[in-house]
Amino acid sequence: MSSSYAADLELARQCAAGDEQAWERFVLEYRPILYRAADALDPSGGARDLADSLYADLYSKSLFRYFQGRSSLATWLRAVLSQRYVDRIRANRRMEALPDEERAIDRADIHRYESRRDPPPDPDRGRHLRIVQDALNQAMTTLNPKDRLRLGCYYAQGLTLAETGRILREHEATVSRQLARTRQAIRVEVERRLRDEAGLSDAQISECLAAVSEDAGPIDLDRMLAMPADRKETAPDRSR
Amino acid sequence: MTNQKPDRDATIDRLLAGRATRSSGNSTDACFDADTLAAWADGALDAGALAAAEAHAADCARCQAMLAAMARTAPLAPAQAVAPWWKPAFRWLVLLTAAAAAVLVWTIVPPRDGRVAVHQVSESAATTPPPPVATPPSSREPATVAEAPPTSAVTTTPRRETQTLAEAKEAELSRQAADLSRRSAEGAEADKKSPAAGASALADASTRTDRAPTAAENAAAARAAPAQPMARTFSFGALETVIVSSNPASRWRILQGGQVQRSADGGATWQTQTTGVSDTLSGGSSPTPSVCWLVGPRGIVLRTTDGRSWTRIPFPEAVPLTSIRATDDQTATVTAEDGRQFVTENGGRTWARAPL
Repeated sequence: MSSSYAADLELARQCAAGDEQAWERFVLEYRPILYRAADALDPSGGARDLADSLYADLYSKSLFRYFQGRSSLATWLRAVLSQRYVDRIRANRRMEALPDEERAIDRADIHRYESRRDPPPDPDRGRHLRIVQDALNQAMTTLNPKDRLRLGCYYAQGLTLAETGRILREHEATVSRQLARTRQAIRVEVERRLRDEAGLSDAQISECLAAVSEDAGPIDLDRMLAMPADRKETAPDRSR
Repeated sequence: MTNQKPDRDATIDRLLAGRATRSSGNSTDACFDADTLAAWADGALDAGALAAAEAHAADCARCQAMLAAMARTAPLAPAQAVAPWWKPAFRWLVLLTAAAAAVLVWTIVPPRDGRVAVHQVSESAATTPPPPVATPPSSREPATVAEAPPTSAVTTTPRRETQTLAEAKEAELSRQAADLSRRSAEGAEADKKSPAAGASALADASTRTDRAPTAAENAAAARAAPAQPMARTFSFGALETVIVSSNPASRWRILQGGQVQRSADGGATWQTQTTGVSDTLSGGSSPTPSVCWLVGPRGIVLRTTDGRSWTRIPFPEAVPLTSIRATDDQTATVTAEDGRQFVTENGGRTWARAPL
């Protein structure tokens, strides 16, 4: 434990022990932090109830015992709130779509997507979509974990370069450069697979990419990033 | 073939950006607890633990979402930002360059009679109240400088009178701009732009509305116009923004919720295009019929180079962007809501702050 967090740990211990003065100090210093974090998560106020619920759990003293002093108390509170917020959103999504349905971005999904467009402007579009999807899926597996995390933060989670950099301890300019490099690496790998495995010529590759560029259909980056580890070919970490 | 690579990179970018946002994967024992998540955020994980955490988060949608939530709730702490290695040296370089420039100017410019200058200033100070602070030539409102009376007016007109005229003109312009903002706000409840953003949207010298511009609008637009307009943006009041390219037959219009429509026949028919963002965009610039740049909230910058597909351009800050002026598919100047301007000359690969 860092000595800089010792005071926070002591405050948490006092609050857990029912020290009224410590609790008053906690309320004064940390309740605004909790509400600011809730408002940052959901500016419409939808996360305030989570903050209130967390606050109530803290008042019941049991939650403080989980704070180990590995971070500041303020950061830990944000982490607990973030965890509950994400889990609630995921739970709500599961209510909307059953997990089996949720994972159904596959060939059948592409077929449904294709069939609801009438009439298809290009008879080869469905095939193009499929082979690009496959090549893209495979290309993603060749990335190292840090590159996949960077892509996930930027594209799947919609974070800014600065926010992504905060997570990865990189300057935003570095994040930008690394994203460009990763995109290029994916492009090269997709081209290689389209050429070597799908047997396309360069002109056909161009045609194929142009077709999916217009309307890529359903692509689930989260799922691509969450492919089983045994399907991944690890590449050396070139992100530093 | 070589020139196809940027297009293909853009296609990959579009494929990645157009991903569905559904999260898959369930919580596992390996998922972070709040303690680990907080330790990561505070930089308290050792190298081994951090590598393991990164490896897990790379493939776990839930933990990625938690990291994203942590990033969004992080308090602004510029001092803790990771600074590039050259930044401290660059500060000193700027100071030294400024000092060298000052010495150079002092050496080259012929000396004037200091006693006369002091006398004139003293005399003016004794008879007139202090003049308002002058706007620097490259401030956020360059049109104010452009509109200033010619130098001869200053030299031939008594100071008090010049100041009164300038004040009256300034007050009139302010009143007209306020009227314009009020009418815009009344005109469309859906328009979320702040008055500042509205003024900024009018910033292009070629900005116009679908109705005849009033004198007040002209005045406000002229007041906010940059010295060197680069591309044309047409605004339909507060309802929708239309961006007309150098060939008026090609134009885009911005709708709510990140939607964009394009017309290739001067606005007779429109086709909806997918941009990949859901935020309502705030402005755009189309230097050629097939190239268009768009900006929006949270640092959104989009560009099309073929008039059909849109690519999100990485932007260094998640600030609301109110307007953009582009000269081609590589060069553009973006204005943020707080007035700062950022320039790219390489299609958005890098951005630099425009000097104030």
